[in-house]
Amino acid sequence: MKRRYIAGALAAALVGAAAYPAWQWVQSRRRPAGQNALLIGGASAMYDLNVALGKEFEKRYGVKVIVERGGSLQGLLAAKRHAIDIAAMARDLEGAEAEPQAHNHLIARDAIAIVVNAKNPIRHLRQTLVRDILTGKIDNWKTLGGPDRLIEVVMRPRHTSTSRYVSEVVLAGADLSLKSHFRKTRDELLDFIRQHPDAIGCVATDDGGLPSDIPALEIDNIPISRETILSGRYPFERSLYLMTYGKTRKEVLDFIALAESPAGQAIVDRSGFIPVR
Amino acid sequence: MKICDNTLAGTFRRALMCTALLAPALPSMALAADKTPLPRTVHIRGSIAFAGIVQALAEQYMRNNPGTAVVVSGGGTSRGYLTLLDNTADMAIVSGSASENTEDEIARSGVKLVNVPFRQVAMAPAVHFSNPVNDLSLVQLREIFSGRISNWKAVGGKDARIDVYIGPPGDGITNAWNDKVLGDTDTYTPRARNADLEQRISGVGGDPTGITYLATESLKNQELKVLSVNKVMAGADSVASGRYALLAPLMFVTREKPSPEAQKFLQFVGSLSAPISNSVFALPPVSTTSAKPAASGTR
Repeated sequence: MKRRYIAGALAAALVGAAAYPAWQWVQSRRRPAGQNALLIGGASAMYDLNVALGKEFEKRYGVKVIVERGGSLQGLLAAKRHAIDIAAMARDLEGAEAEPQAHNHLIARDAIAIVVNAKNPIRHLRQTLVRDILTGKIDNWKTLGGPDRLIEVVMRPRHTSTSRYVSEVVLAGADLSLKSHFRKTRDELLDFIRQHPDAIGCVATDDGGLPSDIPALEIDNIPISRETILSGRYPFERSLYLMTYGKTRKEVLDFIALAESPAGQAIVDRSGFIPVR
Repeated sequence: MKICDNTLAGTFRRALMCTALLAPALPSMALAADKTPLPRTVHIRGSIAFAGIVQALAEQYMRNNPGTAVVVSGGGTSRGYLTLLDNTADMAIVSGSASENTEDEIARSGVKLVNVPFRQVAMAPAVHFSNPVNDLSLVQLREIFSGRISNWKAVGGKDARIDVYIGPPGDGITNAWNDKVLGDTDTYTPRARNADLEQRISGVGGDPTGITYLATESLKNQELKVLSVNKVMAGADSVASGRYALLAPLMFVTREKPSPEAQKFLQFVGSLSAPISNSVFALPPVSTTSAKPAASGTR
């Protein structure tokens, strides 16, 4: 019984420690009095997209849009406290977050393609095997029915949104193999794949389309395509939302309407994401 | 006024009649509102048990109708209903009743919803493969999920405590299982572990004394052992013949006036023959990469 109390207290302390930075972030973003600007905060992955949408909104409505990074959860907490107008969320609401007051507007999708060298005979992998390869648990193509050669994992640097996305969606929090290679840009990564027959890498759809000489693997027998990403069947796919909480002012609804309109969806497309309208 | 009733007996014809009745009002409204072409989009959200089928339907529809976007998201049956209330989706997919909170929310909102029954899916109890039990009666299921039977020995298994895994309150299959197995008077045992479908499958997959329920088609790779109920195994035949009784309704739900594209999508769904058969949904994969799949590479 006593042990359970200690475990409970420890868990509470851990939750507290994790929530404190989020709380600080919310506090630091209280809206300055009398300011009319639209405040958007949340997922870093959506920063550039929201800045582009903000510029268009400013042009059309004469209302300034301020965009901040900070993460989906922080954005959600700030929007719930009405410290910001819109939370940019690169994931769906989970469990108790999905309250009736939380209005989640889907504005884009994107996905991670798993790419290999064209000479590699493997064209399909299960999700779990992709994870095992990226973590280094599987390090030889022979294990997967390929040639007896070491697998070379190539990634974008850790601070890039692609890399963070891979660690969230593909690795589900597990650590990337220490032997991974890093290439700064998408083109350098693709060149590495071309030059190394044993390479495997991750490319986000917001990096642009894939060249025809770089094959993307089917994951759980599902090819990556606009249709499988929109249907949600492709496993390494995610949704990008603009989330509002409770009642909102007219400007906020105008901004969301713009993001969902053909003009807004063209910006989504230009920003490298997949339009959903 | 309610436009469609809740019963499943009428299935498609009635469903399509409902949408057809609404159709004449819509084009004029759309023209009056805006001259820019309406985006040909259908946003669908809800039941995870239903999502697999709807994803296949969505892809087929997009291939048949270039320029359209049918976007499917999960979140569970209750989330599906909620997105109809705040207009963040065109259509909900549901696999049972919503949670009580959501039912209240729907009533409060005054939004009129239209049910379009799709088909019924079989729900079944599922256990770890090492469990020697192969069949449970409906009565035994009720005793197990309410917690009155808490040892496998009482139902012919080993002398071990039963770990009950259930879904969250917003989950349609969880509510449908509650309706069919526990009825009005019983509730899930408070000792039950609450987890979403994926966690339930992996949880029971790693727990020799665990038990859960699921829509049988949610099991893609036979991760768990499915039990027969009253000596009848869930399957296309036993469902079609009416011998298998644990069924959950899969329904599309729209607002009173669905968008033209949502209506078209429902017409497409209704035009498919033999909605009870799984084979309709085994659509051929489409290759998008330049290279041909290598036969030896599949894992």
